[in-house]
Amino acid sequence: MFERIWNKASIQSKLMLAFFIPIFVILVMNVYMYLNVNTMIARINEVYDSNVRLSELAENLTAVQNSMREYLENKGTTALNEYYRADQEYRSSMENIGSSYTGTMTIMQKNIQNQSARYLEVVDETVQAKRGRNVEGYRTGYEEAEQMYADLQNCIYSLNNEQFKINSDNYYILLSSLRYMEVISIVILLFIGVVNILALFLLTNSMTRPLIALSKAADKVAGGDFDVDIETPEVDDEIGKVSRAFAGMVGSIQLYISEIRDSMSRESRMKESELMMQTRMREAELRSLQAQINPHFLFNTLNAGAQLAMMEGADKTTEFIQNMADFFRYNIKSIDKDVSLNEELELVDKYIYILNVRFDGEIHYHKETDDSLGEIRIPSMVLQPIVENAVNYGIRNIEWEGHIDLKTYRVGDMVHISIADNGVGMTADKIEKILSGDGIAADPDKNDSNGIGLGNVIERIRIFTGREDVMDIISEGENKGTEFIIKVPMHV
Amino acid sequence: MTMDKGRNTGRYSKRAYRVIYLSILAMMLVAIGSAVIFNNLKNRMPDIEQGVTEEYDGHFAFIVSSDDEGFWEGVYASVCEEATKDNIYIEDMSKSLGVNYSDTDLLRVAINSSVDGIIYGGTTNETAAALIDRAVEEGIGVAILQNDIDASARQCFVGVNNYELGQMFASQIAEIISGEEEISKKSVDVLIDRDMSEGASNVITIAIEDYFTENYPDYPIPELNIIRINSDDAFSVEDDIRRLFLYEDMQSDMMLCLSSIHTQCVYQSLVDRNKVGDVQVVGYFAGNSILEAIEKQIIYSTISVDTEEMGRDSVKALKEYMEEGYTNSYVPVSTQVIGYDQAKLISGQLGGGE
Repeated sequence: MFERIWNKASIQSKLMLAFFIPIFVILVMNVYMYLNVNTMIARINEVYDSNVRLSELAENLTAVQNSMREYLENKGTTALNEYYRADQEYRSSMENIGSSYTGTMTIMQKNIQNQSARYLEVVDETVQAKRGRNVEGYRTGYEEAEQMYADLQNCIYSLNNEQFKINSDNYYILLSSLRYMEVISIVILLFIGVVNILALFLLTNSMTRPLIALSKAADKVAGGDFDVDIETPEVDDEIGKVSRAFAGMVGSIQLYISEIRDSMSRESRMKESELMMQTRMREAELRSLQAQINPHFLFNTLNAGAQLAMMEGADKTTEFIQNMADFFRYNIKSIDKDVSLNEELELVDKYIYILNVRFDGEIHYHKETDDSLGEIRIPSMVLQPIVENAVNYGIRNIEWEGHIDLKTYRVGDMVHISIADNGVGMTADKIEKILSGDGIAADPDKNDSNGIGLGNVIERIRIFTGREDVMDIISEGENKGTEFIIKVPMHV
Repeated sequence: MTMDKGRNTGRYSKRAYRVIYLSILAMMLVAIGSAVIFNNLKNRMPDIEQGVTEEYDGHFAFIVSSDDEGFWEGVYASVCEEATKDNIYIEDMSKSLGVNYSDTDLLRVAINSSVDGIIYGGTTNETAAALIDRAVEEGIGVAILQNDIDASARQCFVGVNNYELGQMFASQIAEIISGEEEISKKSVDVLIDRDMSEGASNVITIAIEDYFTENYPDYPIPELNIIRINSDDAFSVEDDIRRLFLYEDMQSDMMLCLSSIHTQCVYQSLVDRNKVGDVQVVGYFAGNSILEAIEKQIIYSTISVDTEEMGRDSVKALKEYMEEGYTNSYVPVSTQVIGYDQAKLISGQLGGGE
């Protein structure tokens, strides 16, 4: 709990606490030690009090004895008053000699009290005898008092002596205790001091360390290096907040830079792709232009031929020439535009018709299409080159009846256009070469070709769809035919 | 990377926090610990003004002759032991006063101090008797040990009856005579304290003579010389006895000592003057040095008094007096003659005991 409070506390509070607690502890310790030492000194001062009191008692006793003697000598009022005063003082000092004695000293004290009472009685009787002019009485009394005085003095002296021995022992014990206490005090203060310094060092270090790290990181960031390590202390004070904010800021900047980089990289890839497409288009256009030299002339010629045939009533010839004219018209359209699947299928129909007229119906063409897919967009001039390839390299020279099957169908979001022949088939190497782009380019010298190779077709479909996997070529081996499957998405 | 570093810093902050926390805790503990130490220190210090006055149910003064310390030490120990049972304080007056007072001075101080009882084993002169009378007059019980003061009004005497003592000495004289080849009349010096009354010394001589008459009618009754030894001050006993050997022609065959200090001084003088064997000595009290002398056959035998019994009975008598107002005037104490064999046995026991 304290740790949580500590972590959340502000620097000011922490510093206040860090300074306040040691100061408070040291202050309390000092006051406590001061009080102890003072008490002890006071007790040391009291050690010999009992001796002082006993000495006063002895002095007062002497005063009683002297005043009595003086009165006996001169019977003066002053001496009498002095005697009464001394008597009172002696009695009061008797009461003050204390009651802290033990053992032998208790008994000695009791002896002194009893002897004193008896002595004062004798002295009083002596004084009264003097006042009553009883010469014999006061002489005897004086002798007795003198004797008792001497005994009392000896007893007080003995008690004082005993007390002094004990007091001296006490004095040395107190003195050594005082020294011991002083040493302990110094040791404790030193210990607390060292612990304080250590605690303050660690505290300030825990505060400045993240600051120093932060300033180093800031320097790096200022120098343009955003890949810095930001120390984020767990504490929730100002330094913690600043460190986290700075770390967050640097993180954001890093993220932003990274996003910009990605975006630039994407843009660059797009440009590259665009350039590539343009290159392919140009190449196709070039091929197309080469191919258009004859079609333009042929197209006009064919139109004239069609009109002539129509005038002569030769319907089949008219149809043939009309199909030829449509084929070439499609061929000279701009190749860089996309067309509908239906348009491409029509072109294939016309191409097959022309070929069948040429080769006397050798090519058995079968089409199975999904009408709903007729309007999807695909690049122009992609199906005819494949059909042309199937005719020229698939079924041209086979011994058996040549078939070409064209199918369109849907697989999920994809539209598959399959062109299959039952010709000589393809080896896996060749398939691999065609798909990797090393494949067969159109042979422009060949009279039957419109000049567009399979590589060009595949590349244009890839660019158009933005996908790599746009064509499968399946052949089960020699004389087992070949199937080309074009895969285009429903929506590009 | 930043996260890792962040975690490191977190650990560091946590460690720093813990160290700070522990430091503060340590300071607090040290502060509390030192307060406890200081308090203990203060508590261990002597209480100067807060002592509790001890209360006693009685206060007896113990005043004995300073000459015979070995003997009186045993008595004092026993007195104290017995008194403790009844919470009575025994004040050894000679020790509690820092000045050198005589037995009678101490008696006076004890009376003026209004003690509850006095156990007295000192000088037996008239002054002592007068002070004892005064004490009794003031209601203070007095028990006399060792040497009785017949003339005083003391409540009780605890010790050996002089007649009995005389008889015991006589038995030893007879034993010595019977051990000799030829029975002859013996000259016997009887050393007594100078203050001993004439009557008391006569009782001793009569007891010796009676013993011989009754038990050894064939033996010649020894010639008894009463020699009074001065015990006024610390060294007078030793001086008197030494003088006895130095300047006086030692005619006697035997010496009887009636106190421990007399016995020890005689023993020392015999050794110093090379008179061992010339004089047969019967001593008093069985202190270590006397037992040693018996073992060495310097002293023939000694009359041992049971000091423990003496001390115990004296306290009992005074207590009885305090409570009942009367007590036995004479309480006898057990005695025993210790010869060579017994001395050997006792020394052996003491040695074995060690």
